[in-house]
Amino acid sequence: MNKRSVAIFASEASVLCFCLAPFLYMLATALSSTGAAYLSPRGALHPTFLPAFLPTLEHFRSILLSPTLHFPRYLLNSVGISLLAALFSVAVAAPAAYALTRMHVPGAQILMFVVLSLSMFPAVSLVSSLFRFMTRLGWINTWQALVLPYVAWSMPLALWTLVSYFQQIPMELDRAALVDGASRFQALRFILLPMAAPGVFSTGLLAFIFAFNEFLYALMLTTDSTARTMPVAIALFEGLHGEIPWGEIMAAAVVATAPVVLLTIVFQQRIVQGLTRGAVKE
Amino acid sequence: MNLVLENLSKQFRGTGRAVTAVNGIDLTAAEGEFLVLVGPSGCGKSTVLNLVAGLERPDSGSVRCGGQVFASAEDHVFLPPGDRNVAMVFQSYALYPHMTVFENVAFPLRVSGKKLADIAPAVREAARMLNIESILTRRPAELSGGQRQRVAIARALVRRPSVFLLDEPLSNLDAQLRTSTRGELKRLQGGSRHYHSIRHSRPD
Repeated sequence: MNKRSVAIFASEASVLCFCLAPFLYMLATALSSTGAAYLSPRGALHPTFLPAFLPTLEHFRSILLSPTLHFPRYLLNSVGISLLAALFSVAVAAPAAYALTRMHVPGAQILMFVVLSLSMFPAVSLVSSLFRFMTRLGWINTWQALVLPYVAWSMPLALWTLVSYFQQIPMELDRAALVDGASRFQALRFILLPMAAPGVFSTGLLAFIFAFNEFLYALMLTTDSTARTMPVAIALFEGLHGEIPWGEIMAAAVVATAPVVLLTIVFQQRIVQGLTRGAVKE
Repeated sequence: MNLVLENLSKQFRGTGRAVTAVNGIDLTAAEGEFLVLVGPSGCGKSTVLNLVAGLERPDSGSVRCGGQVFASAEDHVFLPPGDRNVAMVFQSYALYPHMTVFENVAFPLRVSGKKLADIAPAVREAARMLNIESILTRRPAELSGGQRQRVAIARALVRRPSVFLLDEPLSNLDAQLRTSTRGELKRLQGGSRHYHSIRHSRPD
């Protein structure tokens, strides 16, 4: 190993430590027993990293099994709402991206920029009118109250990603599909979507992660465990006598992070490069 | 079943100026005729094929085949490509890279809603005619140029089209393959009388 690669390795390692330290901290607190966390000299926020550290699953057991915490229900809300938001985002953005790249849409460029500019609104500027809107619909504290704004919010990103993926696919392929007797929807389903699979998956994944982490709308538009999502639930977590149950909070955070990490690992394997190789002559 | 083009015109409007790609062409191809369009690059040969296939709408004139009006600018008739029973082999072959050779050839039958039991024999028949039976499980990326072209032709033949269009079918092949493919296209045409074959090739 020469000096250069040592330097690169060292800087990579420091960036990695910087990024992962909070997660390690979270995990350590979640695994420390309540007593150990409080006994550590600098208080509750400092889990023990000493050799005496005995990992315990008591906090995980408590959040998963305690019926008053409704934790499994929050997790179900989060996963369900985020999945629906991601599915609808892709389902609406894919035909739109097809039309914008394959058909003569008047003002396609302007449309794309209007869509992009919509995503630049600060979320907080919309929340009060959105609250009144959902109240009128009678949707407060329901899944659809969150799914609808999340779809609208991740749509510009989904559209732009899919348009850029579709543009890379040779036009002759779906023209061939049309001549072969496919309808435009069949051309989209059998040719464009499978070929843009990495783009479709990463678009869906980004929409899912956005919805999974969203806090403001989830806080304003839900009132209890019927539709409340994980980020809000964790923020509003309180102990029985007003103390802050750090162990439970961190255990909940670990469980909430797990789906996103798992999804990323699973989808990463599907992001295959060079799918268009051999489609047309070199 | 004659293929008739009447006073057919097509313009492309880019930013600013319009380019006339096809200007009032009249053309009749009789049943079983092998018609070749020859001309320099950019003279509108591909546009004529696209107009017949239904990938472009004419600005004026009409395309008819037998008793059927494919497209007529004056009568505002436009049949989508899927309703014309026209097959086309693209210059780049346009094989679907994520499908095997079998799936490529089966694609026109699959989207027409045929059952798998009917699809497999038709695909094998087309594969036998083009001598690609041994490569049915491979993907386009693993094929040579000549093999790719055979697959593209098989995909066009499999649903027995009434008009068969070939866009520069020989331009991507080396000299030896070119001669053998030329002979093969004649043989395929002789075997089935109801194909119109419009082909264009560069004067080379």
